[in-house]
Amino acid sequence: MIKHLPIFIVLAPLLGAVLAALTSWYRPKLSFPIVLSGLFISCLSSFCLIFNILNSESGVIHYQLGGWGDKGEYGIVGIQITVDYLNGLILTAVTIISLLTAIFSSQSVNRELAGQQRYFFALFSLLVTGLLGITITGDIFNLYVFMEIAALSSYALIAYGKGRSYMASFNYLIMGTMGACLYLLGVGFVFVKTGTLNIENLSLLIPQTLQTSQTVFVGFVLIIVGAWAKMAFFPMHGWLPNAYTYAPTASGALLAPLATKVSVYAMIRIMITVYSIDYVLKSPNIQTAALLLSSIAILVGSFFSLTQTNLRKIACYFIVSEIGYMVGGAWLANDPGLKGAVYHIIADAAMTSALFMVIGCILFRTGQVELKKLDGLFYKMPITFIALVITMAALIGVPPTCGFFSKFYLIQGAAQAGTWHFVGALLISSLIKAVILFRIIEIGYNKVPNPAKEGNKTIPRDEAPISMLIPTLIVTLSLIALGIFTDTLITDFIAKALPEIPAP
Amino acid sequence: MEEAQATPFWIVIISSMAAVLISLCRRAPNIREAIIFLAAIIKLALLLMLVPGVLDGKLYTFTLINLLPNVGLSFKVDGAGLLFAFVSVTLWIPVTIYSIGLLRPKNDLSQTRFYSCFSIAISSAVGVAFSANLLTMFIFYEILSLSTYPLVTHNQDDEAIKGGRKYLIYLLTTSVGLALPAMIIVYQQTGSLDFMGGGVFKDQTSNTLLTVLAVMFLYGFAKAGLMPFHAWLPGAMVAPAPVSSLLHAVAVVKVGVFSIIRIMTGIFGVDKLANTPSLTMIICIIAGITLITASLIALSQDNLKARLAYSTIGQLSYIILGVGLASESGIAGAALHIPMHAVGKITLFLCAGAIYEACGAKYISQMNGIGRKIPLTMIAFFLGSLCVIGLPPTGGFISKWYLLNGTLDSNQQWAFVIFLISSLLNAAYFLPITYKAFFAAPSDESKYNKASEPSMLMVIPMLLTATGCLLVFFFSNTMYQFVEQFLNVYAKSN
Repeated sequence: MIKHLPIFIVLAPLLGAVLAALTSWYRPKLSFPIVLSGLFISCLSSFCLIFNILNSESGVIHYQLGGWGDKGEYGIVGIQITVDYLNGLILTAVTIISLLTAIFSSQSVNRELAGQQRYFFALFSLLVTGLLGITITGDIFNLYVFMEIAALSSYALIAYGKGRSYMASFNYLIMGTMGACLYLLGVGFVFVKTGTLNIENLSLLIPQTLQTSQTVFVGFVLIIVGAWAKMAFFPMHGWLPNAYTYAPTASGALLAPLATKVSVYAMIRIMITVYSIDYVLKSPNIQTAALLLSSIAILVGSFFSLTQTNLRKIACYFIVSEIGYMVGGAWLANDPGLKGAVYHIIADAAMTSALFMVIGCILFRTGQVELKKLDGLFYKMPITFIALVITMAALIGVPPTCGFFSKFYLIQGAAQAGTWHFVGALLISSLIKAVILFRIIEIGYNKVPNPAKEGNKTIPRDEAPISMLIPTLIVTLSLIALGIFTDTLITDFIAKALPEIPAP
Repeated sequence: MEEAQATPFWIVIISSMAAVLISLCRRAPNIREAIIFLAAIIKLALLLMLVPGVLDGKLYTFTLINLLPNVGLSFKVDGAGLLFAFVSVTLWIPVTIYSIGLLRPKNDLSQTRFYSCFSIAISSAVGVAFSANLLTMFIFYEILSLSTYPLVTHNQDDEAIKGGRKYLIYLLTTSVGLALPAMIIVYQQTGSLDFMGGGVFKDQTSNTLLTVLAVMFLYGFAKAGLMPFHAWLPGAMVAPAPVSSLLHAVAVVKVGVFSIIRIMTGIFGVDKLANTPSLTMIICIIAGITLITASLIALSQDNLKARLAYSTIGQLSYIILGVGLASESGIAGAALHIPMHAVGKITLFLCAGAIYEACGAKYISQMNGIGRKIPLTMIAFFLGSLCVIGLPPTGGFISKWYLLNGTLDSNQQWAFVIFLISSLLNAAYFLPITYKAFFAAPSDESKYNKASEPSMLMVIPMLLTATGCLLVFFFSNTMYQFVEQFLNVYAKSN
């Protein structure tokens, strides 16, 4: 049983999706509990798995799908699932967040998508399957398959939003397909030269014997660019803001924190395991370009967020800038930079999740999230408002929230590499987010003079329903908890997940 | 001698716990305020428990949790930190009495928020005082900025919002834009953020880097009010009187200068400062310019609170200039000037609030002849101004004595002159206020006929702090013992 733990993580939501779709023909109400239990099993298995990894000596767990194991001279033939510290950590984060988002979204789906819930939750579960598959797999072609599963279900999830969401979803489809094609092409190049798709085999072959091969290098570039398109890295970010803004609340809350972050994981996996840090360092042109683009992404995302009036759009542009943080951190290719990038995957998943959940709560009660119509929000929804402020503080990087520590490592990495434009971009983006936070506070808290004061009309309290509020609060408080346990996270997980990089 | 003990942590956290209780007792004002006094007394008692050990030369340390490899959320209590914490907590009590006297009769419904934010601010000020490393200090510094924002915007009108915006923009921009990268560079260069006697830098660290870092730190901790990052201070004066008094005379600005003292002695190290003339020069020049300019601006202000604010900016630079002198008595003077100026300035701010409550006068030109109507308030004001100017028998005299000594020890005669000029300017902008209040004929006889002393709850705290100005003079030797312990750890290590 324990041996089969890794596959349960992917299988549970997949079966959940299929069962939910089937049962919905005669009992639509059943689809939500089925999906929820699937996600719960997946979450539980990922917890067991991470403990197994912590207790195992090598820190890696292999699982051969269907028993197609090592075939001697041919290497590993079948699809292999490999879980180490890096993806074990991200798997746990993905399962927890998707479980909480599922609980969060039941009410809003019932209201926004009345009558369509049955397929919605099946697709929801399918998307989670795709994301978990990308994270868990040890095979670069299999990664592509899961990437497409996730992408196809997310196109549908976004198009549920009606109106402008069709167009947004279509844009996403074009960009996503292009990204996937580039990735697949890259995989083809690598396969031609190496004859294997297994990440472990590749990690033995490429850094040692194929360092100078042009084919492998082109494959590398294609794969990286494909992953960039998938994660909405500048200048391929155009699809993201509209797609996530016009999607239904529940789709946004699931896609925004997880979809892009998992692509970042895929990129880091390709960079540090399939190729290697040495390989990355030996292509300085790409490194320079990636770092420059990261800085631009951070600045563009931040400045565009400043010009928006819709809170959801602002949040979407935040994602664009946060992607810049992670890509930049990874491409610094030094110890603190990579630690910061991996830490930021976890931290940003939690931050974005909290942000979209808070926005969902506001949307549920007031029906809109235009910034200037949020006046008096504090008096109407005090808990939601405080959660919003904490989340924004984390995005700015106010200690002791997790956002501070990721920024700490990223800046340290950039200082070590002497990439000062990246430092500047990080700081400017922090300050811009601070401006937005003050705007929110001024509108939501100060603009309406204390309603309890004599003569002012009182604003009735109208907090979001408890099933939305509790997941929101859990995620929000986790921002502080993650920050406080940074040391544990870094030394016990992330440091072990990364290859040793000697300090210069 | 270091001794691990959890008391420092409890001292820091106790007023935050009080903040939670305060916000729960929204509907029972008496219980709410009783909690504040209880928390303050417990906090003082715990502080007193540490006194004998610290005077014995002990350093109480406590690490709550490791945040980064090699850097934890840790506390370390030494003489200067204890002294600073002691002053903040002691002054918390009269200010609370004053706030009750000021806010309750107005039926101000944001009182609960006011008191709980206030408690958190005290927590973070003590947190800064007890921090064992730069990261812990930075965390408490930021919590202080955020928790005082609702206090600055307490009135929630346009002016308050504008002041609050300025407050946060100045403080956050500088701390995120300058102090944070400086801190990370220190960590990247040395792998440590702990405050240690002799500093953390290796000997071969280049002077240019040190100077750049020093400037980043000086401006990064903008609560110290160095020009040109001082404008938030006059802007934040829109807050109610108790907020201005405790936060902008004691907790907030003093946290700024205290942080700079800590960084200069614990990160750079006194020896390194003394041996790097370019470093001390730049600190002294920045502080010296601020000192004189702020005093001159204060002279031209007619709004009493604005005059006090600019006077604060000037006095803070005394402290930084004292550190920049990098001599033992200079640093001693800087560390002593924190409590001395605190009692003096808090009295002045409380009086300014009381004058406004009693006579409705905001501007100094309106204050002719009010001394006869509100004699107690104006006597307190007089004592407070003596302390800030630095005349005996008030505490300000002692700290200026050490500062002037410091200038001679490190052979910086020009700083001696600057201190003297500034003291004269202080006298020029403070003494006429009292003189005119008592002896000048009111411009409009009938205007203040009905004016009388404000409620006893406001007068008593003022008189308490005014007496404090005298007491710190007579007990200055005890205070010096704390500073001496601090000097033994940081200034005499090598």
